[in-house]
Amino acid sequence: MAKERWASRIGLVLAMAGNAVGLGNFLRFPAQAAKYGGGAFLIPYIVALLVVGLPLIWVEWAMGRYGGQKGHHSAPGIFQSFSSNGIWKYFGVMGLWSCLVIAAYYLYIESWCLAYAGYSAIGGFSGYTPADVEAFFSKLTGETPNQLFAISPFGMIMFAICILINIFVLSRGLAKGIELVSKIGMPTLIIFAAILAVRGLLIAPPVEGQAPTFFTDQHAKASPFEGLNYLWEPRFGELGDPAVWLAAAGQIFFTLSIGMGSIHCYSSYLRAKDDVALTGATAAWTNEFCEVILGGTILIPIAVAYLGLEAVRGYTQGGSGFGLGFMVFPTLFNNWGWFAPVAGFFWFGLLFFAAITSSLAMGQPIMAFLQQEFGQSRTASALSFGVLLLPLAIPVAVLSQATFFDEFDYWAGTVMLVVFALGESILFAWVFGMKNAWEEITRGAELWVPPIFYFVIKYVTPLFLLAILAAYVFKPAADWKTYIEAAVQGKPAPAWEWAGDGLIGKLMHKDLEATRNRVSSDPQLDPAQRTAALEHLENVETWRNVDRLMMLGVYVFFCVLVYVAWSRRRAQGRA
Amino acid sequence: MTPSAWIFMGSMWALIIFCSVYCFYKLLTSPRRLDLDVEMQEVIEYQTLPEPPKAAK
Repeated sequence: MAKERWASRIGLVLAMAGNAVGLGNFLRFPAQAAKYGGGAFLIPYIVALLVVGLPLIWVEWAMGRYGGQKGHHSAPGIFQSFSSNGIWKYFGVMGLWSCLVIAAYYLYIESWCLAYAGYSAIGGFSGYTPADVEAFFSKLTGETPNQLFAISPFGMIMFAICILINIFVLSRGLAKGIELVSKIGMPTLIIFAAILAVRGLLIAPPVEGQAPTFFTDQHAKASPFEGLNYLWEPRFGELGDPAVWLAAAGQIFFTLSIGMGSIHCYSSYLRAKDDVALTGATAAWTNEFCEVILGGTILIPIAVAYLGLEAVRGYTQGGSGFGLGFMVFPTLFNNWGWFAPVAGFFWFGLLFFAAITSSLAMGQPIMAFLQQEFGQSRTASALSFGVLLLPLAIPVAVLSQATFFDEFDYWAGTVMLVVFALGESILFAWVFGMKNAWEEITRGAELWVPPIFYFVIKYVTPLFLLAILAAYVFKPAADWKTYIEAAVQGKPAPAWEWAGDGLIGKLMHKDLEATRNRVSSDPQLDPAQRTAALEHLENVETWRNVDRLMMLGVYVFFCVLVYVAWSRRRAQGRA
Repeated sequence: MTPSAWIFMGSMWALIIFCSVYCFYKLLTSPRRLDLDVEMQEVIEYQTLPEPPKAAK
């Protein structure tokens, strides 16, 4: 089998940046920044980039390159190459597991972007109101209130097309597949985003007593700069709230695609003397450019210009820009006349490119594992990835998003990433040894890595990750700020309740319990509606338990594969 | 926009653009050129190695 290799460094950088740049850059970041302190959010954000983001980028690149020299291209083997203790390869299984589980729902979102881009391009959203777009979304996903099954032939066809596109690109290999798509997709994405950002900032609301100019837009309610102001005006008082720091750390963590095993896989195709410091930093800063500069200049300013500040405040209250981006944006573009279909195509096209460059990075580690340990060809391993994906993707597509979709996102897309990153930072800095680790990071480096990172990687990064994990595990329903203020002021703290989105609360289905209580006491519901809603919640709980067993089963399945692979290695004298 | 919003946005943009441009500049001007076949580079490095000293007669 021909050895896989990147064709060029720029291709590798764009592939890595493409892996990092995702939907979160354009939808989640602006909403998070607006919600948590405006411009002041960028202070913990940059701190988190320096103590968690960049260090972990270098750790993952260096680990991947080191494992690649030992002939490993996926997390189990790469992790095992740092220690003689056999347990690490089973921990590394998380790098395969996360990729598969996240791909199952991420590809579904990717298919929405594709459908929206196509529909925008043919002018389908022309004259739509937000309610019409919502109806389009329901048609695409098949979601109806209080229904367990959410079957949409249209949505499933789009999903299948997306899976096939990914399998096709993956089967073409690193240079002719992933690298080529990244070389086309990343510049296209940046151009689309830049055009939308400039067009958005040119929106000028009519001013009383002044004649309209070329840029005056009769539909605009406010200046887009009011939106920028909402995003960037620092609210320093909020920096005292631990939730702001956690949100910033979480955003950095998820935006860089750390803790998934995909960076390890990509960098494992480097040579021993290849640089990781400069290439890794370039990919990370490209992601920041797309997130802070492009992502921060599209969603909120355009939305504020047409909807007004108060409406946008309501949309971003949950810290997600999904509703704005998918439900409202297509209607806002309608104000741009002939440019509306183009703008819609650019917006959803850039989201599609952001998504596909990330989803490809989830398939490659699994393919690399199957090729290396079970001798599969590129095409066979790409097809195997598709086959492994199906049992997880089908329930995502046919059941309510409250079941598999949300659970995959929480466990694989949120919690396990932190667990994986904590494990790798301990393995690299403490088990392998910080002296060796530092040599790995700086070997062949074309960028001076400040020595302070020696201590940051050894002490600060693991502690920071531990704090993030602890915050997920022990999350109270009341804000942490409430408990801190009560302790400082000597007042009695509120009774402890687990938060529905904390790990323990989630395990106990506290989020469903809260919804159940709300439904039970809602005076606007008639008895039939209440019964239907409560029955639906029961179904959701049952299927969430099924989903958890399934995720556990997938982990065990990968562990068995790793066990078989290493038994064969031992038998062949390769272990 | 308020002056503090301008200052925050300007400084963040400046930091990110500076770091991105600096990294790309270093990458593009690196002696390990882009799109250069690494095997070929290794051959060039090998060919330009100094000759081993000849043994004294």
